[in-house]
Amino acid sequence: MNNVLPEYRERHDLSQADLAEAVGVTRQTINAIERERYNPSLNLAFALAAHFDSHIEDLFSPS
Amino acid sequence: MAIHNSHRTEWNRLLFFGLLAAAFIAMLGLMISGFPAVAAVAFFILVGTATVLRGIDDSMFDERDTEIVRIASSNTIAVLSFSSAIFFPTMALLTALGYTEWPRWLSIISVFDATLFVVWVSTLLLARYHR
Repeated sequence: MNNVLPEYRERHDLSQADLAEAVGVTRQTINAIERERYNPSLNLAFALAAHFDSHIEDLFSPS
Repeated sequence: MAIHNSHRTEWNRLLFFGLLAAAFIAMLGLMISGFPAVAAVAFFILVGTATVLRGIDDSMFDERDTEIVRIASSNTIAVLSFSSAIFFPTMALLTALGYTEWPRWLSIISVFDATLFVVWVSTLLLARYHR
């Protein structure tokens, strides 16, 4: 699954650690998602979208 | 603040795995040294401390860790399945034909392997029943 998480995170001036803290996961998980080595669960995808006040499909798209 | 918490979580993860490694090493070392009671006490203390640490910091592991554990467990079951379905029957056949001997230690491993496989099938059926 492709994602634009790094762009959203940088636009909001957040570090991976900040975002991880905000959505309740480890920094390594955010890093793995951004590098497209891990697909988040629906719950985490919704949490990320909610944090950026957007929709899941704004952040993620099928590869 | 967030960065501080993230660093604390990473430190706790390292501490957790360090405690488990120390428990394993202490258990093995003290058993070999001839102190089984001390080995057991050291093991319980170290594993207990790790368990308490995990209880205190519930953000230490997340869904990706769960996924990694699931993959590792799946691979372990694949190894068990291979040994149950191919290795041990082949060894039994070769032993029956006189090409090799079946050592006692292999019997112990095969029974352990088969028992684990039965446990896995049981938990699989239980999981299916609840879904």
